[in-house]
Amino acid sequence: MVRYNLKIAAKSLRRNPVLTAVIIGGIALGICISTTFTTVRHMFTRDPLPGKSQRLLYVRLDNWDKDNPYPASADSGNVHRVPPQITYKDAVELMRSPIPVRQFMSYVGRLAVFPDRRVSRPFIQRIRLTQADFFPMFDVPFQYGHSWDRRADANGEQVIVLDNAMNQRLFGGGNSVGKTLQIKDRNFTVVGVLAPWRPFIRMYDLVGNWAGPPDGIYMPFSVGPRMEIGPGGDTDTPSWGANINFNDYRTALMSEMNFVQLWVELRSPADRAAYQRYVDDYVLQQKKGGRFPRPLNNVVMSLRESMVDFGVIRPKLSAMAAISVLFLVICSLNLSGLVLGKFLARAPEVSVRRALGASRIDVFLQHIFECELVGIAGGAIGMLISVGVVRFIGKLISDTSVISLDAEMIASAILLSLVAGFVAGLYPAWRICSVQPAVQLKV
Amino acid sequence: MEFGPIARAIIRNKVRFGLIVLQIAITLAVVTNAINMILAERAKMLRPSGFDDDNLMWVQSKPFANAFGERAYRITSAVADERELRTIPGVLAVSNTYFIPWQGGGSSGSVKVAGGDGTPHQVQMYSATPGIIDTLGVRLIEGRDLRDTDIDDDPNSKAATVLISHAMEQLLFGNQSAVGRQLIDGGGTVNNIVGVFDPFYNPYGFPIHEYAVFAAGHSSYGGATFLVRTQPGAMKSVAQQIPKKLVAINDGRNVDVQSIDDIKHQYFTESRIIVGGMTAVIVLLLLVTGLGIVGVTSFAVTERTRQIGTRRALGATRPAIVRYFLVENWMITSFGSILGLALAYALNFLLVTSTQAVKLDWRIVAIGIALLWVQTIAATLAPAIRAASVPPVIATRAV
Amino acid sequence: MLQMENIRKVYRTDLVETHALENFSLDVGGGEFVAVTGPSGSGKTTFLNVAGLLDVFDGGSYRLAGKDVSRLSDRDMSRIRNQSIGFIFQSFNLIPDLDVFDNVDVPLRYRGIAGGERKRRIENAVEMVGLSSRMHHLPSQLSGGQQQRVAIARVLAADPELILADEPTGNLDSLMAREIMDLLDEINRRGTTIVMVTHSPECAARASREIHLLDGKVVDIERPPALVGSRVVR
Repeated sequence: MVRYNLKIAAKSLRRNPVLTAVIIGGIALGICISTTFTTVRHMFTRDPLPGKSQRLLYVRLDNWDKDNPYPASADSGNVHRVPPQITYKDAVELMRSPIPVRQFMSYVGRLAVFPDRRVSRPFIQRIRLTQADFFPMFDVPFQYGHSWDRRADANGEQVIVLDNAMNQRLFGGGNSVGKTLQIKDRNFTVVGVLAPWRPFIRMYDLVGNWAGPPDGIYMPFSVGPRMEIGPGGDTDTPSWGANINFNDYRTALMSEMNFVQLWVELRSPADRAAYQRYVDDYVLQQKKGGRFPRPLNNVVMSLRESMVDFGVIRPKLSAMAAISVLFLVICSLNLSGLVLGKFLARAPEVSVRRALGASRIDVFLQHIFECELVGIAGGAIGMLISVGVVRFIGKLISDTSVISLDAEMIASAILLSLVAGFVAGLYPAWRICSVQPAVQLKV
Repeated sequence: MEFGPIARAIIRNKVRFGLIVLQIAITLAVVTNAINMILAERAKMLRPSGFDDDNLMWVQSKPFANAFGERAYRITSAVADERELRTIPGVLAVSNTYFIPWQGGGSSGSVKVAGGDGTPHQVQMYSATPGIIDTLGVRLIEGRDLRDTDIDDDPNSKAATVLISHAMEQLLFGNQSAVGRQLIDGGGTVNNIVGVFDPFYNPYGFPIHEYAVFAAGHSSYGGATFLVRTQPGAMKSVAQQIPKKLVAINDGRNVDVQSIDDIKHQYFTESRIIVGGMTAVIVLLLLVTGLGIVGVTSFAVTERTRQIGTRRALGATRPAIVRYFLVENWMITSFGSILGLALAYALNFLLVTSTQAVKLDWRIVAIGIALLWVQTIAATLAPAIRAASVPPVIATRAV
Repeated sequence: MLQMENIRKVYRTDLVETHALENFSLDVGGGEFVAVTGPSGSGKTTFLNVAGLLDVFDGGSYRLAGKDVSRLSDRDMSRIRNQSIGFIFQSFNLIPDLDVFDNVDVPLRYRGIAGGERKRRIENAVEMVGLSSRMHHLPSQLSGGQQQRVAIARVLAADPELILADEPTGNLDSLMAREIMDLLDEINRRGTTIVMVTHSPECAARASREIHLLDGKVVDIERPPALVGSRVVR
C-alpha cells in the first residue's frame, strides 16, 4: 500500500511541477528558518556531556561581605548571589572530601611563553592551571600522549599539555611529546597534545567569556604557587574588602580572594545530598573561626544548573526559536490554501477512485501521504540551507565558534517537516475526502 | 459596498476562512513582537557611551621579559609608553588605564559615602592617569581634572584622588556637589573626589552602567594598558605605528592594538543576530503570507467563476468585481487582525516575563495592522483584476 | 421593447468558424410574453446572450427600449443589465454562500439603492414568490423549485422592463415547473415583457407568441390571433 501511495503521490506531484515546486519551496523556507534558530538556541542549551552532567558539580561558597550580598547581575542568573569562584584555601580543604570519585581545582594565569626564536617572538599566553582529573572529567580528547597524573600534581612537576592549535603554532603540529618549552623562566616538558577540540560553550569554566576559544596550554595547579603565578584570565576575581594584590603572593594566595574553581564528579547523583552536607559542615566549622560572616549559602550545582545560573542559556534565543517555529506554522497554513486548490482540482479523479471502492479514510491517507512526501522534500532542502546559515551565525559569535546540526537537531527538523506537511495537508485532505463522488461523476 | 453580505458569507465558511484568519492573526502577533524586539535591540545599540568611540583604541602591552616582574619597572615602563604614545602624530589624548569601554564588564567595587549612612553602592572602579577626560571625550562639569601630583603608586596607600561620573554623584549625593567629599571603598581606602564628569555609559554585568570612579594611578599589573584617542581619520595610521614605536623603546613585550569600535561590534553580536534574524523573519513572513493570499484568492476566483459571471449579468461593473474581492480579503485581514491583537499582546506578555522584553507599544500594533492591510490589498489586486475579466456570458453556460 | 435586425454572431476558433446567429431579426413589443424554441445548437442561448448584453454581436443592430445598444461601454452595458434587464437562469445561479435575503439583494446593491428601500423591495419580492418563511435559508437548503423562485424574486426586486429567462424550468420537475410558469404569467400580467428560451412545449404554450430557431435563423413565427388585439402596452 505504501508503494502504491508513493506511486500515486509521485505522479500527482509531477503533474503540476510549478505548484509542487512552490509548495516544496514554502516548506523548505519554513524549515530552514525554524531549524536555524532552534539550532542556534540548542547550541547554548544542550547538555555538553550527556550522561555525565548530573554528576559533575561546581562549588561556590558565600564568603562575601557580612553587610551586603554579592551583587546581582543585570542579566538573568545568579539567583543565589554568591561569588563565581572560591578561595584557594577553601578549595584545598574541600578537596579532602572522600565523596567525589574525581575532582580538581583550577585557575587561569597569564605567562610569557618563549618558543624557539625561529618560530615566533615571545608572547603572553593564557594558561590553565588545573589538575589531572580535569581531562577525564570533561572528556577532553588527546591526539598525542596523555595528561599528567595525580602524582605529577602532588609533586608540582613542570609538565604541560598543549591544545591542538598551540601545538600547531609552536611545533608545527607533529608529535611534540617529550619536547620542552620555556614558560616564564622555567622549562616545561610536553606530555600530551589535545585532538582538535572546540566545545561551543566552555563548560568547564563558565566565568567570563564562555563562548570564546579554549585554552592553549594546561599546567599542573601546584606549579602556580611555586612560580608565584597570579590569576589573570578574563575571569572575575572578585573579593570584597581590601584590594588584594598578587605582588605579595603568599598573602594573596591565602586571602579571601576568590580566584579558584572547584569541580567534583560524584559516583551517582544520589551522592549529591551527602556532598552538600560535607560542604555545609566545612563552612559551618570555618564560621567558628570568624570566616564566612554571611548566612549559610553554599551553592553546589550540576553542570547544567550552573550553565543556567551563569546566564549561558539566553532567553532571547529561546524567544527567537519560538518565533521561528511560529513562522513555520504560518508557512504551513499558507501552503494549505495552495494544496486545497490542487486537491479540489483533482476531485473528478478522486470520485472515480471512490466509485471503485476507495473509502474516505483511503482517500484521506493518500492525500496526507502526498503532503508528507512534500514535507520531507522541503525539509531536506531547508535543512541543507540552514547548515550554511548556522555556520555563518557561528562565525558572528566568534572566529572559532562552530555551530552545526547534531543528531538531535536533524531529528527535530525531520519531525518539524512531517508536522508542516501534516498541517498544510490536513484541511485539504479532509475536504477532498468529504466530496460526494456523485457530484463529480455526473460531469 | 456590500460589507454585510460579505461578512455573513465569511462567517458561514468558518473552517476555510478560519485557517486564513488564524494565519493572519499569528502573523500579526509575530510581526509586531519581532518589530518590538528589533527596536529594543537597536535602541540598545544606538545608546551612546558618551565617549568618542569612533576615534578610540585600546593599547595593551604584554610583557614577557623578566624585568617586568618588578612593580617599579612596570610603572616606569608605563610612564615611558604613555609619553611615547603622545608623540605619535594623529594622537589627541592618551591615558594609562585599565578601563576598556564596551566589554560588557570591567572592574567594580563597593563604596560608601564617608560620614554618610553607610549604605554601600556597587560602582565601576578603574585607575587612570590624567588625560582620561580628554581621552574619553567627556566633559568635566565640576571641580578639576586629575593631575600628575595626584598619582599615588604606593600599593599600601589608604588614600586616593578620584573623579566620579555625574550619575554617580546624583546617586550618592542627590543634588549636592560631590567635589570635596570622600568615599570609603571596600578596602578602607579614602577616595577624595576632586572632579565630576559627564556623560558615562558602559554596560556592565551588574546594573551599574553609569556609575564610575577613576582614581589617579598607573595601571601596570600584568602589562600596561592605555586608551588612545586619535584625530578623526588618523586611526589606521596611528594603529600601525603604535606597536612599532613601543617595541622600539622596549623590546621585552608585545603590543596589541584594538579599536573600540571592534570591541563594541563584538559586544553587540547577540543584538545583531536578533535584529538580522527578526528582520529576515518579518520580510519572509510578509512575502510568504502575501503569496499565500495571491494563491488563495486566485483559487477563489477560479472556484467562483460562475458566481462572478452571474454578478456581471446582474449588473456588476468590472470595478465592482475587483472591489468585491478587495473588500472580502480586507475583511478577512481585519478579522485576523482583531484576533491577532489579542495574540500579539499574549505573545508579548510571554516575552516580557521570560526574556525581559519591552512591552508592546500600541503604535507598533497599528503599524503592523497597516502593513497587513497594504499587503492584503497588494496581494489581492492581481487575482481580483483577473476576476473582473470573467465575461458575463459564463452565467448562461451549461453547468 | 426589443428590436433586433439582421443580427450576426460568429464564434471563431483556430479550426472552425461557427455562425451561431445569421440574419437574425426579432421584434418584441412591450408587455409581450415570447417563447423562443428550437433544438440544441439552434442558437437559442446565443440569442439570449446577445439580447441580455452578455455577449457582443458581430453584425446588425439591436435596440432595447428604444435605445441603440450596439457599441456600448462595459459600464453602460452593466447599467442596462442591472436596471432594464432581469435574468432567470436554468441552473438558478444563486450565490451559494448567501442566504435568500442577500441573494435577492445583489442587483439592488449594484444600483446603489439605500438600505431601507432595499429591504422593502426584497421583502415584497420574496413575499410575492411565497418564500418569506425562508428568508434566511441558504440555497443548499432549498429545493430546485424554491431556488428558482428566489431567482425570480431577485428579478422582481430589481423590477426591470424586460425579463430574459433561459430554460427556467429545465432543471425542475413538472409540478415545480408549473409553479414557476404561474409566477411568470403573473409577472407578465403586471406588464413586464418576458422573453423565454425553452425546450418544453408546455412552457412554450404558456407564452403569447412562439419563435422557432434553427441553425441561427428564425424559422417559424406563430402568433395566436387571440392576442393580437389584446396587446398590453406598458
